[in-house]
Amino acid sequence: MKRLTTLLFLFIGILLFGVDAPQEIRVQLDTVSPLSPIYLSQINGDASFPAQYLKELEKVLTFDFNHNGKTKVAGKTKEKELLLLSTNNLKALEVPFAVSFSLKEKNLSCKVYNLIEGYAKPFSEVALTGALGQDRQKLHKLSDAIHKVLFQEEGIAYSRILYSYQNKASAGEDSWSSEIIECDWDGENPKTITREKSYCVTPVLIPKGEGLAKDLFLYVSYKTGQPKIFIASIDEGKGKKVVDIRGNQILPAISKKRDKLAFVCDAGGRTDLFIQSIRPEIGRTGIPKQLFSYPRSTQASPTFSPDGSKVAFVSDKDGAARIYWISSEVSNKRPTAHLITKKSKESSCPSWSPDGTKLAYSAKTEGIRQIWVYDFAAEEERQLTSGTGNKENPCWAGNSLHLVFNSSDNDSSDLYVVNLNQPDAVKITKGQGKKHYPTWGPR
Amino acid sequence: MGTTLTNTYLKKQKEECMRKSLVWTVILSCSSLLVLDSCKKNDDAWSDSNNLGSYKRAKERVLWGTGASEETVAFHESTESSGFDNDFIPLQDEDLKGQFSEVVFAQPKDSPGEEGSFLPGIEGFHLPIGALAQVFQTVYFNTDEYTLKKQEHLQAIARAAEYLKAHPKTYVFVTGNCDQRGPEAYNLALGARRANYVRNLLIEKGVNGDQIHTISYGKEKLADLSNSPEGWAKNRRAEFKFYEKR
Repeated sequence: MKRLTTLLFLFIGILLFGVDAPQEIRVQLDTVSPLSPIYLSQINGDASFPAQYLKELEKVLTFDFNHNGKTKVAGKTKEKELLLLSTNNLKALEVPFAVSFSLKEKNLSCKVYNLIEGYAKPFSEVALTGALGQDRQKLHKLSDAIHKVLFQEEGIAYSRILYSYQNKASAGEDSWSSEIIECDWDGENPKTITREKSYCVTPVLIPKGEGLAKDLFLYVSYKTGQPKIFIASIDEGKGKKVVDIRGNQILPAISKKRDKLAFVCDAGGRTDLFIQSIRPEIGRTGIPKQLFSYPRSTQASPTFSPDGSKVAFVSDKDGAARIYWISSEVSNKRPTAHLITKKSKESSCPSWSPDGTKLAYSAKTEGIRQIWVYDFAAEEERQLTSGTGNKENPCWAGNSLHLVFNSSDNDSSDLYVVNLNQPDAVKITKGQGKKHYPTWGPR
Repeated sequence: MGTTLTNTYLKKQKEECMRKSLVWTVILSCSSLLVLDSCKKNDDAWSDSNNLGSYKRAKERVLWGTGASEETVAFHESTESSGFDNDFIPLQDEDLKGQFSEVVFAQPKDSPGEEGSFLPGIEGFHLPIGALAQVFQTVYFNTDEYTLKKQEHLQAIARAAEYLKAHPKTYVFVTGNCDQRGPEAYNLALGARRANYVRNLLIEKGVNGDQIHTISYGKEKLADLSNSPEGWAKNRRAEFKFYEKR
């Protein structure tokens, strides 16, 4: 009886003061859109070019301002066009930003209106050629100039993406060929920049050197059988072997200061991380050094921190593949590896953002590989993409806001661009074949 | 009473002072020891590095950017190999030296197909046909594994080893492949690991390591495009391509 009374009191106590009732799980969603509406006028003016051509040019500008992570293009209406032409009562446009375009004798001029701060800025004329490929790039450059005026930050529309392209995604020796392609950030203007008639993969754009004219890139070619790392200029595309080390050389990465090359190699019988001192315009300095090796494990996909002092990479040394960082300082002892991806499973292909604050990578999420972003300051892993298709090989644009990655379904693979403010990725490549291993850099 | 208190205070002050001096002495001594120890470690590191073949200390300083003069070798137009005896500086951790971990063997110095090599590139190597197809059989791996479990695969490796030992002028490429489900960049590394596992097994069975080269294809060269468990199993493989030197 005494025991029953005690239990009864305990129960009442719990009801009155004790255990919290189960609560609803609340997810805090960011409902304020980081995107500002912008109105882009039609390209009005003389008949220098056919109307259809002008529509194509408008599409280029619309893509740039719809996917820059800062603005969203407002729908065109006749009333708004008239408002912009008359420049009276521009507030009636109900957007913070507007751009009017006009064409005269193949010269495109534009005026940018910041309706919040109340100023208008005219831009110098852009001479169009009528060649869509060239004019696209001129418009991307103009988009970046407008972006700089509105947001005081460099845009990334006038940048380039390199990727590997396998024409026939079928089995067999005769179709086993892949070259490196260069394209604009919207996937247009694709141009083959290697002509090895071999299998080329994992291109890496080398950061531009001050006062140096050539744009260089690294890639891996199977032209003699074993994969080796080559360097070539984008204009010439003729590769020179970079590292003189035995075995398979794969997955190169270069430091922002362009003085260190990290790569994976099995020279010692394991798949280890190596580092080589290089001068891209001249050659290599000294011999490679084993940077990280671990018994019974596979190392992959190095990426440098912007200051070059650290290297993040994939290792399965503790079981499943996870991402770690180590110091890039060389020693004769293995550096301590610090685990980054504690939450994500089967993590791969890390890419360190140019501002050093984030790391993008791919991780298996409910059976599908998705792009995740690790925030170094908050020490948080955040899922960026969702939906079908295995998404891999993310690479940051120079603004540390945009990412390009490849997504594959069965035998096809295409490139997508996404930014941290707009998680809906946009497909930028089309047609058959496998497009993968993208890398992003300035022109 | 006042004098006693003053004396006690002075005594305490003196003791405090001595204690502080002692603490500082200990801190300074420890710091000195640490500095000396780190110097010793650095010396050990350089000393170990100096034992790595023909490379001079100055050259190593250049390699890591601490030297005053730099010796830079131009990238080759061709794919010529320098033929260095030691083409990289290895880590010196004890657990990488073999007796505490898996047995691994360094790759052959020669890179087939490159200028100066006595072997052709992969185009000169052939898939085994006829009786040789029974000797050099493709072996298959379990998902995300790099070791062979099935007895029939280990027996196939033993047969290949016997043939290679009896034919020292036969050279093989072991190609490491993965199925289409894993991440493609990681699979390039996993393919290398599978190929090296087979190579290490052959060397353990007495084959000359210079006869065996490896290539990692990751999941870039699928044998079966069907997206099914059967297709995946056919792709997780190591294949042989061979070349008979006359």
